[in-house]
Amino acid sequence: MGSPISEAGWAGVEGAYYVGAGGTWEPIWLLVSMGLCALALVVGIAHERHAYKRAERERRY
Amino acid sequence: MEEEVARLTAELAALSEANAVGNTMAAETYYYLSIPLMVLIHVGFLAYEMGASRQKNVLASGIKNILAFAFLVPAFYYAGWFVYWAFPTGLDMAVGPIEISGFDYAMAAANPVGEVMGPNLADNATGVFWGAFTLFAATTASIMSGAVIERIRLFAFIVLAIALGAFAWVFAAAWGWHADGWLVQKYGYHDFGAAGVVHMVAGFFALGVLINLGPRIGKYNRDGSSNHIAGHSMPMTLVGLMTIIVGFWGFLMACAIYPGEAWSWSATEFTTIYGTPMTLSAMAFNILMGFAGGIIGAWLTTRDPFWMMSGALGGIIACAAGLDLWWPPMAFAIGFVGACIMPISARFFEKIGVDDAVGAVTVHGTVGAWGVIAVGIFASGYPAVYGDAGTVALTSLTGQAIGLGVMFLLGFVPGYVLSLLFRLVGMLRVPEAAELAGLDIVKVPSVAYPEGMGSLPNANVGASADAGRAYNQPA
Repeated sequence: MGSPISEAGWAGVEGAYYVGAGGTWEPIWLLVSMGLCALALVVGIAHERHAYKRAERERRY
Repeated sequence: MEEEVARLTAELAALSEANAVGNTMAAETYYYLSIPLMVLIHVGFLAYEMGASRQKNVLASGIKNILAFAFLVPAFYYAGWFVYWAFPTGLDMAVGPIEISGFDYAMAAANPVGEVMGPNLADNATGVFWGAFTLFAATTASIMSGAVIERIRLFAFIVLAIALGAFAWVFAAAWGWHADGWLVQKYGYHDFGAAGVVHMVAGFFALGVLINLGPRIGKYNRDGSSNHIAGHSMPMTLVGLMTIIVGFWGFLMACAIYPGEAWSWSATEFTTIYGTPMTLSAMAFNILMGFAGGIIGAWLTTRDPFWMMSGALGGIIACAAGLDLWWPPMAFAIGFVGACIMPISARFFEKIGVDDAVGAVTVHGTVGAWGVIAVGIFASGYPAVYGDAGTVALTSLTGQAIGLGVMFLLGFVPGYVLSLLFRLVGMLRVPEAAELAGLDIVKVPSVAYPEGMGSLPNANVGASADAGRAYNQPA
């Protein structure tokens, strides 16, 4: 990880320059971001389920 | 003399280089600016959808729309962009005749762990193209979003939105919008402004979902007659629709290919995505004429401001497939006819039990189909794609009809099948108690109008709720 740009500076840099470029971290970060989406969905399902059960318990109509 | 020639040669080289840099910056900026313009489509859909919701569901509808957009961005990064470049020739990921497709090409251009998919000084194009396509994808999800308001579960909706935005419409775009697409190469399918690949696919995907989702409680009476369920704010809906139209300029702008770059079709002029020549002036003529024809046609047939603004959208969608080709008065007439079809289509779907809360199936599905077939009726004979004379397919009624069928199936089948699976496991529709109480009070930790339109989010329950409660549950 870290900067792919050497201490020599930005002069002559032409290609990818994102954090970790040229390394092997891209798939790991891809999986991390996918995992965060999945986590949000799973927690979201649980929240919805809980909310709907409460609505059925406290049925107003 | 020789020194003078050398100096002039060097100056010319410097000027050429500066011109190339300027062109690259202009091209990058052109697509970059199309992205925030397309975000206005989502501002519009957000307002449209919330306005069309009853007060008890306003924020839940908003959350649904916002999340569709948010989840589509990473989903399109992970898969959608790759699908677009890998599958134009069908499902085999082969290289097409223009050699800008297939597995290897997609791995180079759209690999989500590749260096082109991030900050890269050697690539000024991939990010802005990906961004524009991501917004196309999010548009498809927003189209579906409005149709299913007030009773769909959020999780099911997000999964359906991803299926539509990162896969279904992307296959349509690969087949009918990519220059290597088999519909384009073999049948001369022409759909410049995505009447089929975006609007039809999204509209009929929504239809497939609506069949399984069922109507809102109170929409239908026991005798089969239907009730109008008014949204809580028609002004919000109308402003939303007009904002969508502002965003459409960005959408259609991004359908054109900027000249002069290594990836351009032409050094000197804008082209369509198929590589055929066009001008932005052509779009300006025809978008505005289609827009006006749509409003006036809807006014003639409905007198209803909701349908008039939907007519504006419908007018542009009706013209979209041939926006690069129409004579402007034709665009007006095609938009006008599209708008006149809308109320007939809406009544038909309502009559067969499809409760489409915002008319999305009609405006995007039916009118998109009219736009696709209009090219076959009025614009047959154009070379459909870049290539030497006599070697490329021509636009034709047959080609457009085949494309229309493919677009319908690419939308309807996945929408129907996926939503059926969700229905079978009880994850498609909210429970009756939640629907009747209103989704805001059930699951949203804030109130839409705490001091304004009514202090309780469940104060405005549909008038006919009891009448249809038992009758309207999905089978």
